[in-house]
This record gives sequence, structure tokens and C-alpha cells, in this order.
Amino acid sequence: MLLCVDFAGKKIKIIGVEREEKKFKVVTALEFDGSDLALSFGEYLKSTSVDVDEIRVSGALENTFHKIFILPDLKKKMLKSALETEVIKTFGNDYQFRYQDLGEVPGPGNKVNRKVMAVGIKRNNLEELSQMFADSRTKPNIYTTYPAALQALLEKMGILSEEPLAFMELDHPTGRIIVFKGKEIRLTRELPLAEGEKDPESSALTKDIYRTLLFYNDTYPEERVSRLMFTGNSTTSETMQNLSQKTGAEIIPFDPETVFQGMKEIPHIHPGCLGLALLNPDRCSFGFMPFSVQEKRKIKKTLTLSTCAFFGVLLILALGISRFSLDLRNLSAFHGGIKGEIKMKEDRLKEMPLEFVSQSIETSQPPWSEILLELAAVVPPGVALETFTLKKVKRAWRGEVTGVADGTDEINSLLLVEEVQNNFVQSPLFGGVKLTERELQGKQVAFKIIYQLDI
Amino acid sequence: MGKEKIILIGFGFLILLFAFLGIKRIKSLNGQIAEQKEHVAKSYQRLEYVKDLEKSLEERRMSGRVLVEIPRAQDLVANKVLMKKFMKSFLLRLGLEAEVKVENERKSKDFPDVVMVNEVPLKIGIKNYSSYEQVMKMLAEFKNFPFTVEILTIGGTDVAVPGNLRVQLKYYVIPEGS
Repeated sequence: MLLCVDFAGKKIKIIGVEREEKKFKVVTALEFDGSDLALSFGEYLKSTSVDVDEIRVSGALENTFHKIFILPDLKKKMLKSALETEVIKTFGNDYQFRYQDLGEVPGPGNKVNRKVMAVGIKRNNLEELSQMFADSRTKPNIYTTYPAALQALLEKMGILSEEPLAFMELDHPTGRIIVFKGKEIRLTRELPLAEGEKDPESSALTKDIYRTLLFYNDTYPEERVSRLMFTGNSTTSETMQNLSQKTGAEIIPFDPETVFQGMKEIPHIHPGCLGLALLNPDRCSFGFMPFSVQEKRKIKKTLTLSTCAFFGVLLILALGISRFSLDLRNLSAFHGGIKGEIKMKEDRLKEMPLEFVSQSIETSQPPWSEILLELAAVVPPGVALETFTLKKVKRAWRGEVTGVADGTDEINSLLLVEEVQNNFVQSPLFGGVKLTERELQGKQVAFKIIYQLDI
Repeated sequence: MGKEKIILIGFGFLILLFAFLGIKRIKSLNGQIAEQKEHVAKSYQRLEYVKDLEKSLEERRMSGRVLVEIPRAQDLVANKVLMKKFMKSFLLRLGLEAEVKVENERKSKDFPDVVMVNEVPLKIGIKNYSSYEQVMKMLAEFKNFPFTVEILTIGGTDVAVPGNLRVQLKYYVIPEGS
């Protein structure tokens, strides 16, 4: 059930609406008045909270403002800023306000201005209204003003037009008069009602309404209110006729049955509440939200986003870690497999030690015969080798030769040594050849060459 | 400070903390993976080597290129004596008179632990040889037995045994029961 609550000053007016697709049916209508409004309302909310799935609220007229501003044609942000300045200048800083751009109007010269309707509600009043629903399971999803809600109803009923309409809800102990023109809420006023005024001619209420309409005519001299609409328990036919005669305006009957079903079964008709039921919270230009609720929503949103971000990061990290852990596990398993295979092969190798030895000898021993033949080839006539050594050092074979070169003289002997060295260097079997010692012994030259085998 | 900011800072801190710890863990896992990859690469290399070796040894076994082992006794001293006698007669058969020194049998470090092979170091000093051909024949004959030459010197003193041609050898022994 959609619960629409209109805080009409000294009364709280409530209707419950069931919605089925685009049809609205009023299932309950009641009002609270008396000294302990908040307590009775609180009790009611507790008793119906199970059935209520949505609540909409309109504030008391005395805590709201509705005003048309003509502002220069500015960009949206600047327009809002200019409007804020105007609102603060006109109504002070206590209001939370929203606005609707009503379009362009001609300004002085060739300039174009913008017509903006601003609707405000006192911040404190919004907080107080919000507090009334503190214990309720369902919180209001929209707060607006009585005229804004009423505008929605009249628009739906097809009554609003460019001809000004004065709507009056006269319900003891207060009455309300709102003047609409097209989309504009031109004038709002609360009217104190005295009970039991029998003479409509001289009643204070009639005079009050008439004065209000005259004030409107003064404010907008080129226009006059041509249509009047009455509702409320305190409305009498005398009042209507009297005002119609005085102003020459047409009386338009208020018949919400064209929009709402079940109107005949309910004891009270609350136009403001009916208007609330018709509002679209997502598209309503004058929907308010108390700062405390906004703050709570912001915190909730921040908390949700932060939690999502946190769990998102956590999830990414968890996925990353599990992926790398799996990689590591797979690698370990693969490594284990290789190790197992190596172990199997090694066990097989253990069964072939002699072949192993045979292989090792074959691959590690140098070609002895080739070495000895090469050695004979690199030594020219006139040179006598004294020693020849070949030694296995780790996996390499290193060796040295010593000998004596006997030429006809010292120079020839030295040349012979050089020839030996060159022969060693040019030999494909020997590498790293170095002549480490060379000593003249008369005409002879003793020498020592070190080398390693290139195999 | 607003509640919103406190929540944002709190969660920001938590996210940073968890991101730091998570990234640290991921880095550590990455390091372990890199290390493991190196191990796998090494093991794979080793496997390839062992496979090739096995194949080669199998081929060797199938080809019948088998080394001749010298008869052995149970006793170590007797073994030494047997080895010395064998070497002398072996060289004498090649026309070489030699002095032979046999050292104690020990575990060979020339082979991986996969196979158990012992070695007996031998030193041979030959006083006279007639030609290089005789030396080459001797070295060729060594190939029929599990001998490996460590040092060969003609006229040098690197091997501590008297002789003109000196050879330091190792005789590889496959221990019984291995």
C-alpha cells in the first residue's frame, strides 16, 4: 500500500492507495487532529507498517515557499547559483529548495530571460517530518509541498491551463488557497477558519479569500482568476456562490473520481494526499530529502561502494594468488614427475656400471697414437725433445715438452725453437701453446713449451 | 571529519593493506615459480642427459663392446699382488720391462653417484722402449681393459716411479654386489 501523508498544519491527513498498473484505488482515508498529533500518528504508523510499502509526505504550507523568478539566460550551474542567491535574499538561508525551468521569457531589449519556479521547504521542518518516521519500518521516499502535490493531481485531472485557477481546500480549523496558472504555482496562502459562520456575505473566510484574489489581481494586473475550485468539509454552497458572484469566476467542481477509484467509500477527501499518490518520485521536480536522510544515504552508498571495492580488490588478489599457487603446484608436480623419471633412469644406469666405465674411458682418453705421431711431426731436424708429458687436469689434458735446439749458431737455434713453437701452434691437436722457457746454452737453445689438447 | 571520509579512509587503508599483503604474496609466489622453473629446467636437462646416457649404454651393451675385467680375489692385499702380477706380465707380453706400483683401492670420484665404481691407482715405470710404436701399442692395449691414463711422461718425473716412460693409470673396479 502507498501511504500519502499531508501535514496540513493542525491536522495530519492520510490516504492509503493500492496501485494496479495505472489504476489507483483509495483504500483508506483518515485524519488526525487534536493536541497529541505526533503520538497518534506514530501509533497508527506502527499498526499499519506491515501493509505499507511506500510513504510520501507533504509538509505544512506555512513552512514552504513557491516563487517564480525571472533570471538571466545562464548556463545550468550559473543559473542555479544565481537562483540560490535570489532565494537566500528573499527567504533567508533556512530553506532547502528545488527549481523547475519554465522556459524562456523575453527580457529588456533583445535579451532573453528564463522563468524559473523555485519551491522550498524549511530544513528544520524536513528534519522534523523525517523524525516522525524514525520508528517506521518504511521511510518516506519523497517529501514535497502541498501545492506541488496538488499540482500533480490537477494536472492529471486535466484542469490546469493558462487560465488562472484558484483552488481552495476549506477544512476547519484551517483552509488553503493556491492559485495555479499553467505549470506555475502563483500564490499560496493559509486561511484561518472560524467555525459556524452562517452569514456567507459577511464571513471572514469569504472576505479573506476575496482579498487574496484581489491581491493576485494587483500582482498580475493583466490577469484575473477566472476559475474557482472548492473542496473540504468547511466548504458551503453559499461561500462558493458568494465568491463566484463577487469575482465573476466560474466554479469548477472537484471530482477526483476520474483518476481514483473508491472515492465514494471513503469518509474524507484529501486532495494533497491524492496528488502525492500521483507523483513520480524519479521525475518529480520538487521532491525533497532531509539532509540527515541524504547523509545516511550517502554514507550507505559510500559504505556499499567501499565494501564492493574492498571485496573486488580482495577477489582479484585471491584469484591472482590462487592462480599463482596453482601454477606453482603444477610446476612442482611436473618437477616431481621429471625427478621420478630421472630416478628410474638412474636405477637403470646402476645396472650397467661396466658399460658406464667403458663409455667414460672412451670419451675421456685422448687419441694417443695420433698425439705421438703429431709430436714426431712437429719436431724438425736439429731439435731433440728431452721430455714429453701429458697430464689429465680435471677434464682437460695439459702437457709440456722440453728440448734442445741445436742450430749451426745461436740464431739458427733460436729460429729452430721458433719453428717448433709455430708447428705446435699450427697443429690441430694442440692449443694454448706457450713458449715458457728459452735459454741459450752456448750455440744451443734449451726450451720449454706448454700446451693443452684440443679434443 | 565526516563519517563518509572516515569510511573512505578506513576502507582505503584496508584496501591498501590487503593489496600490499596480496602483492607481496604474489611476488613471493612468482619468485618461487621462477625458482621452480629453474629447477625444472635443470632437472629436464639432467633427464635428457640421463636418457642419452642410457641409450648410449644400451647401445654399447647390445654391440658387445665389453671391457675385460682382471680376475680378483676376496682379499685386498691379494688383489694388489694379483694386479701387480697382471700388469707386469701384460707389459712383458708387449716387450716392455716395467716397474709397477699398485696403490689401495678406493671409491672413484670420476663417476656420478648413480654407479658405484672403485679405482685402483697404478704407476708404471718403463726403463726402455724401442719405438713410439711400442708405446702406442701399449696404450691401445690399455683400451681393452678398464684402465684410464692420468699422466703419461717420457723423460719427465711427474710420476713417482723410476723409468724413462712413466704412466699413471687408474684401474676401475665394479664392486661386487653393486
